Parts: sequence; structure tokens; C-alpha cells
Amino acid sequence: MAVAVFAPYIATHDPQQAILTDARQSPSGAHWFGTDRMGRDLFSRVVYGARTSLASTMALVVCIFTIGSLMGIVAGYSGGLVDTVIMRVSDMMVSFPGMALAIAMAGIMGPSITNAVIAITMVSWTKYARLARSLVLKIKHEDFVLAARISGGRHRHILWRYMFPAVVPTLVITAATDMGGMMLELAAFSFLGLGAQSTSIEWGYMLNQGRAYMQAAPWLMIFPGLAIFITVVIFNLLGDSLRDVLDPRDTGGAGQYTPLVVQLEKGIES
Amino acid sequence: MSEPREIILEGRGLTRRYTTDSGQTLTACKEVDIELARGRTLGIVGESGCGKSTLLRMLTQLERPDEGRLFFRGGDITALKGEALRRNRRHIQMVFQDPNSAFFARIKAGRAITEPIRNFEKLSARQLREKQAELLRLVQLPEEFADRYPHSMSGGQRQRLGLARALALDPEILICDEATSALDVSVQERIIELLVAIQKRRRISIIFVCHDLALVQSLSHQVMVMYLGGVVEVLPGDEVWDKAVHPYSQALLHSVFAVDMDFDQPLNTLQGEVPSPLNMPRGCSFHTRCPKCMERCRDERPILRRLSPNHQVACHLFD
Repeated sequence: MAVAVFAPYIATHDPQQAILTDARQSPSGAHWFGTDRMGRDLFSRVVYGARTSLASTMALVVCIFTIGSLMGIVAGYSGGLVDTVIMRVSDMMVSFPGMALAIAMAGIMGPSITNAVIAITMVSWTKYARLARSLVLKIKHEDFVLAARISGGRHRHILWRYMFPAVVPTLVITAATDMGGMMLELAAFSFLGLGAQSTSIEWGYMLNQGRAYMQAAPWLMIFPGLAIFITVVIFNLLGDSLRDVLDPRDTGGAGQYTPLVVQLEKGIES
Repeated sequence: MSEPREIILEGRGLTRRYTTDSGQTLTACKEVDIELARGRTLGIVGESGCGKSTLLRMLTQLERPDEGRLFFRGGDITALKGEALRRNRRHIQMVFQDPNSAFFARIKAGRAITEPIRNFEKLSARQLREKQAELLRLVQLPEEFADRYPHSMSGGQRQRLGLARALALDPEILICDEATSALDVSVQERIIELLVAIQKRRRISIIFVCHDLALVQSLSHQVMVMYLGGVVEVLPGDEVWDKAVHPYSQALLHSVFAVDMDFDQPLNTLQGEVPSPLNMPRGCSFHTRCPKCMERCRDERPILRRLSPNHQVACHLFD
């Protein structure tokens, strides 16, 4: 993430500056990762690519998280017709192949990173909706929710103060674990030419560009691939450690939950 | 007992049925009549599954009765909904059975007990703090508990917190759903003392549900005995031991353990199982286990009859 933020300071060259005479140089002191077919410095491109890839992955996860948890909480809490409608729509989305939808979307709206994000969001929010719904169903009839109703809580208030906080830790863990997968998916979209276009710098797209020179200039694929690989691994590890901290097993019930701060303090002590 | 009583909450013929997954009808409450007088305590006893909880859900308006009406201060509140229902909730508050699940783990005690007030009034932070301190004092908890999480407290402390939350809106009716049965006996006693003291000071009406008959009769002005979704007997608390006449009330009394009990005598317990509420017996719901069952009991459902102004019983023996 730091790499993405400080990209201009880390990069050794202007990532867009094409020096055709330097095309397809192998890694060297001047160009650490070599150059691509237009003579652009690959190291700088990988560094800048972190911006696009991370930003679009973040945007994607945030979209999915918001839409999914909102839908799930509302469906679980209201039940009845609202629940049926939302869950049927989500069933429909699940049964729709993601790639096909994305290709269709790219055909209608033109390929771009934004459209790829929208396409993946449309297919993936259902997972969060289901998770949120099941968690809400679990606590909906707990005494503390009834108590909130008897003491005159408005539905909006109960959703926001009770349902949402109860659901968030589990969803955050899922989101963190999913981040890697989402990044891969976005890279795959870009690789297929459905996501990022040549004007932007994105790892998946760089892979696609390098594909033609796989044998002559393997670094064109190795370095962006490595970047994706490392980031995905980092996100997965992050998700795992988040899970250890916010173990969802003791978040549902009222009794055993220890606030995050307390857990962290305990962690520091031990 | 003869002073004129003002009925504050009244239920007439409250019936609630559920449909099970297999399509059968479960009658949880059948034509329950209930009267609660201002400043009085009504105790409700009955074994588990007799419809006590369903009755409470209807009284607290978490569920709507399928049949019957509910009156608060003479006004029909059965069909209230939306904002009107929410507004009316402030008069009827409840203390839950299990203090562990009655609080959300992510809300601090102080916030939890002032939340009812926030739901109805806009108060400044200072006023809320004052209210909070006042409530904690009322239930005899130290003020610094406001910044603690409910799960870091003992069961008794948490139950006081539940009481504080229920009293926050200064309700006219307090419903205690087995509010003491999850607690140790010594803690129970202190909660009860607290309840009685608060009732004296604020003149609130209490519905106290419990299956400890001895406890209920000692603190209730009126005791209502329920069996299988219906009321079988209503009588003053201090007359339970001497004047309870319904065979089921009798059986309950005989099953109470006492210090001076003669253990050589066989315990006088009821035979047989409670019939399933899915398949209510015809006639009197208690006839399958009643030691004094008559021919008539099998066909005709007895209705509540007054034996004296404060004593009602539903049994053919007393027609």
C-alpha cells in the first residue's frame, strides 16, 4: 500500500515515457525490471500499477461490502416479502456466470476498469448478502433486540446500532480474505482486455501486453505476475490475522464478546 | 383488597396460534383474560410451555393476538402500529429472564440504560448523564458501572442493569419474565426487595412471571395460575396456600418442597404428561391429568367463574 501511495518517489522513471530505442531491454542497473516493448521502465510501471490495482480492488471490495451487507441486513431483519425479493435476486445473480456478464457489460458500456468493477460487484455482492442475512437471522430474536424494540427503538436505529455492528466483524474478515481473490479476478479481466485499457497502468493488462514476448522478454510477465502474487499473498495473510484478532466465533452472542481494544491490549500483554 | 381498584392493563380473550412447519396449528394461548390493577403485582405461575411467554409477548406488543383485545387505561391498544405503537411502548417495559442475552455486548452499560430515553426524548449530554446516574442509584449500582460493558458484570448486577433500563422511561407497567430465576437465591432476594421498594415509591404495576410458587405468592397481590395456554385460577397471593381450589393449583402446591416436609410420605405429584398444544384435548385442558376428572370435563371447557370478588377459577367442580 505504501508503494502505491509513494509511487512517484519510488519509481525510477516516468512510467509512461516511451523510449523506443530502449525497447525490451533485460533487467539491468538502469532499468531494474527491464523495459517493455515501447521502452518504458518496467519497475516504474509495476510500482505505478500498484496504484490502479490496489485502488480498483479496494473500490471493488468496498462496493461489494456495502451493497452486500446492506441488502443482507435489510433482508434478514425485515423478512417476509422484502427478504424473498432480495434473496431471489441474489440467487439470480449467483446463477449468472460472472465472466459472461462482464463480457456483456464490456460490450454495452465499453471495456474499462470501472465497468469491470461494476460487473464483478453485480455478481459478488450476493455472498456478503447471504452472510449478513444469516448473521442477522441468528441475533434477530435475541433478548437484546427485543429489549431494544420494547424500549421504543425505531427500526432504523436497531438496524444501525445493533444489526450492523454485530455483522461487521465477520464481514470485514471475509472482505480482507477476499481481497486477494478480487485482485486476481480484476487482473484476469484486464488480462482478457475487459478491464484496464492501454492508457492506464495495471498489472493484469501488463501481463497481457507481455504475453506476446513471453520467450524473448520473460521479465515482462514475471515482474507484474510477481507483484500480483505477492500482493495477493499479503492480503490473504492479512485476512488470516484479522480473523485471529476478531474471531467471529464469539461475536454473535452477547456474553463472550470482548471489544477489539481489549483483545489487542491482552495481545500486547501476553 | 376491597378498595376501588383502577385497572391499568386488561386483556380479554387473548388467543395466539402458531402454524408449525408441518402445517399444524399450535395454540399457545387460548382465551386468556388478564387484569392488572394500578400499583399492584400480578404473579403468573405455570410450568414451562404453558403459554406464559406468549402471553408476555402479547402484553408487550411484540406479537399481536389472533383474537382478543388488549386495553391500556381503558383504551384499546390491540391494533396500534407504526409510530403510535412505538409511542405507547414507553408505558409498558420489561425485564428479561436471562441477563446474559438481554444486553448487546457492544454497548456500554450507561448507554444501554439511557437508550430508552434517547428513543423518546432529545436530551443534552449533561441531562443524560444525570439520568444515567439517577437510574444507577435507583438500582443500587455504583456510578462508575456506566462505563463498563455488561458482560464484565455479574448476573445480579446485570439484572439490576436490566431493571434500570426498564425503569428509564418511568413506565406504568413493569413486566418481569422470570427475572430472578437465572440468579442465585441470595441475589434473587435482593432483586425482589428492590422491586418491591421501587413499586412502593413509584406506584407502578408489576407482572411477575415465575415458576417458583412460594416466591410468587409472597410478593404478588394477585396470582394467576396458567395451564396449557389457559388461565385456571386467579386469587389473592396471601390466599394461595389456604384457598387455592383448582386441582392443578393444588398439585402445584403439593409439589413445593418445604423444610418441615415429611419425606416418608410419597410426594404428591401429577401423573402423566402435559398434552401437546398441537392437539388440545377437548373439554377441560387439564382433564387428562386431573385426579378429580368427571364425565363433563371431557366434553365441556370450563370458563373462569368468580368464587369471591378476588377469586376466580375455571373448573366444573365449583359450578
